[in-house]
Amino acid sequence: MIMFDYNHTRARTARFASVLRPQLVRIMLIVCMIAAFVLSGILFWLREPLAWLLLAVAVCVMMLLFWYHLDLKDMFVRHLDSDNINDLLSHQVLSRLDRHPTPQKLAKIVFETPSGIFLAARYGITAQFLDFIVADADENLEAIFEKALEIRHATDSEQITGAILSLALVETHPSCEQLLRRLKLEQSELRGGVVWYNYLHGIVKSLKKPRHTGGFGRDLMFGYTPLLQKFGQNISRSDGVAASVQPSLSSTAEIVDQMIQIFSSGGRQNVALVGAAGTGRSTAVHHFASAILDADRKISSRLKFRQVFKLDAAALIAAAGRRGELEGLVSHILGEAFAAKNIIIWLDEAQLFFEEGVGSVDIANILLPILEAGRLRVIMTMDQQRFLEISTKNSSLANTLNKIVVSPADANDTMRVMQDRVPYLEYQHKVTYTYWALSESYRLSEKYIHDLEMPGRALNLLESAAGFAEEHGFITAESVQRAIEKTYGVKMRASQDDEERYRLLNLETLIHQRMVDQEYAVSAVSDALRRAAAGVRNEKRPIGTFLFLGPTGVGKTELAKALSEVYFHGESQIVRLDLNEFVDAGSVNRLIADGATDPLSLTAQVMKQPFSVVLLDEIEKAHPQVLTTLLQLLDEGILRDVKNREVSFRDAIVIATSNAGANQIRNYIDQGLNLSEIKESLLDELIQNNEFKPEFINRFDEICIFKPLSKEDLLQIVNLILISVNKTLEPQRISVALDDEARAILVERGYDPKLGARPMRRVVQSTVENIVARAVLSGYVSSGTTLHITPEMIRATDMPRE
Amino acid sequence: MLFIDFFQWWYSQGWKQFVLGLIGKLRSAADFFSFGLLIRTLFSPFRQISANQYSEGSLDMRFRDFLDRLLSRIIGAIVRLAILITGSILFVVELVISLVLAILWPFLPLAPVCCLVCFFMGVHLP
Repeated sequence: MIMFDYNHTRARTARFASVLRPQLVRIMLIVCMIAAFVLSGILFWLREPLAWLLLAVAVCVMMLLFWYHLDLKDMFVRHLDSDNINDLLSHQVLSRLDRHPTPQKLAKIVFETPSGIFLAARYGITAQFLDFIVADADENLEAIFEKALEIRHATDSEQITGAILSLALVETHPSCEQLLRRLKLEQSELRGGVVWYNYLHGIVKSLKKPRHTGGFGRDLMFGYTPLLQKFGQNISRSDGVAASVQPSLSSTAEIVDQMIQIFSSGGRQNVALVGAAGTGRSTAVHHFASAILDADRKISSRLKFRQVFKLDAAALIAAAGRRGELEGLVSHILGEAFAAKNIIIWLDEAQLFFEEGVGSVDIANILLPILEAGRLRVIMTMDQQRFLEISTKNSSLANTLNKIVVSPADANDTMRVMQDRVPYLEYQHKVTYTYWALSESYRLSEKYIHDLEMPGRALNLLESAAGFAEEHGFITAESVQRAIEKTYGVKMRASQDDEERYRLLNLETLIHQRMVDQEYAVSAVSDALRRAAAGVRNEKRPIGTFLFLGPTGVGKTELAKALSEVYFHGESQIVRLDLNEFVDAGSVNRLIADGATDPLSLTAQVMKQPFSVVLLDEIEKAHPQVLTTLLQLLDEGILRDVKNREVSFRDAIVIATSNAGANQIRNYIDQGLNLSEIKESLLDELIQNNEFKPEFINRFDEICIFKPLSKEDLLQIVNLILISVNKTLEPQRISVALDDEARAILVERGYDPKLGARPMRRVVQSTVENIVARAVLSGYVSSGTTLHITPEMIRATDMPRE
Repeated sequence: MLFIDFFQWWYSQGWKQFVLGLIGKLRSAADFFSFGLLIRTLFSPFRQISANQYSEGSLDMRFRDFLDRLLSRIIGAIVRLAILITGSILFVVELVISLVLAILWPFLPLAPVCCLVCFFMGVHLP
């Protein structure tokens, strides 16, 4: 039977230790001890026997302080293999437990322990939550202690801390899964919280241990390095304090071991860490620098206490005025590093040192003989692409390098790195990160950050979120969402405010303030947006993919623009590509070009603006290979750019427009067919005519047929155009009004069944603007008046029919 | 009961932890004064000055380089010896204190008892 023993030695000493724990108590004891020693000395001098008594007191206090500092302070578990709960409970818990503990009392106690507070802050296992859990609990603690023992074992914990007891209280609750679901957590994630706490606790413990880094005689062994001090950064000096902190990832530790092995052997004394930015290449170098400074680590004396200097390419280029000077300067620096005998040169972003041309530096010729001879230790970090470029340009240089590939971290490793970094970020920004902030950083950065790899991209977002703290300085999932919204213009959070809800529920009405008719298409896109906002869409696809088919000038592009303005806050949120510019097979490269070379490529624009309307105009004119490339985009919401980076279209609405089949649509309308009948027949025809392949058509969520505009539709369009004309005239405080007859004349002038509303806009704008211009110049209208345009006025403009 | 816990700890884990702590301090002192490193490089050139100049010139030049290196090594040895001697003295002092404390540890709990006996007996120091 698992029971708490109030009189167990550990429980007793823990209670006693808690009396001594307040710093004030210990300061008072130290003062008493010193005073007793001094007074006893004086009294001995005065030959007073009272001196013995004071000496006895001083020694007793001294022994008490020894006991506290050597044992009571931490009260480490002595019997790690024990199954007795009394041997394993942490002193924070033991000192607070009374003779008859109950789940209710335990719930209060765990929240007073550091690990319990940790779990409350990060995972929301608060005092109120625990009170709720134990409200109807049985008084028997056996099941809870049994669970605590199991969790301790599963999480490889030394002690049974408050966090473990918190978890045990939750996990022994009959509706545990339901409770955790309310917190959006899983049992394994919560247990991960215990491991996280243990890990941070371990770091603190290791930092308290004395570090041996060679002492002050260390640098006397080695030479002076004035040039290196000027053009480089001694990372060993800044990292020396972290000598005993192990890398948080086993993969990083492996890389460090590999580096140590390479540099300890008699072979080529260089390492090229090759991996994408953000994978932790620099972190590995920093850990390596720390590891070789650790006197307690068993490494070759040829490598021990060597210092890593990071060379600054920009400073070197700036310092060397004329051509040839740079090579001389680099030669001097490398010579100095060699003569000093303790330097390892680190060329970060090493490709910078092998570039030709003005304002660049190519030290390949200087470095190659040094690397081949193995006389100077060199570390290089670069990405795979740059390594391949160097290999192509200078194969002998690439062959000389000992390449170590640094791979991106997976989800678990990224979480571990973030957990490792959190204390530093919290200290810097004075905030507290919750677990959800970390998981959300991983999720969102994977989706939206493309210029870095994991774990760098998640860390980047996590740090950005520090500026969006909630109340009391907590960084939550919402903070991370806000950070990515501000940084990437991505709309993350489900619509919460009333204005947004109103907009979503009335999308059709709002869109029709800009365009007329085409009810079916308007409803289809509005429904897609509402599904996305409510979170009931497929997250692995774009918000919606639509193919708009119809004659020119009927509102296909206008609907895309209206959507962008109404929901995506402005027409600037539209990524528009005219596919009649992508008519040859080579166009595919332009479609997916790198943003650095072509900022207007589809992938570059969506990378910068993932939450947008992607409008692919005149899709029927694109080359078949371009359409094939778009298949994956339509299907999975992913397109890979030329650098093979995944660009997400999963927050975009993709609209493709086409005039294909415009004549057929008109014929069908004239025959009196309804839109669904037209759609069926038209698609068959388009496939038979080889205008579109069936697999392409099938990728769209919805194919919307736009019917030609009637004269009644154009009357409404005149109204809409007039509203925009009045907006233009607003600064002059003049407004324009048209009577019905005038409107009819304009419609007659602007109506062209083949061109839709386009000529109408030109006719209305130029007619009205001409009339207004004449009226203003002749003094017919003044500021603050409304100009009523009559049919006569329109006829007077003598506008030729379009 | 607490007294028993205390004495149990004092004569088992306590003594061990105390001695380990003293050893740790001695190791830190040895590291601080870089004994191993200084002994290994006692005759190396001071800060590696002139350490790697292998002139291929005349005999006169080579002899001058040799003298340069010799001087650098002598200076290096003097500086290192000075640090070694200073460090060694301090280290020995710490070692002696540590040894005394480690030996005194088991007798320390007896001290208050002895003091109380002396007090009640009215013992005066000579």
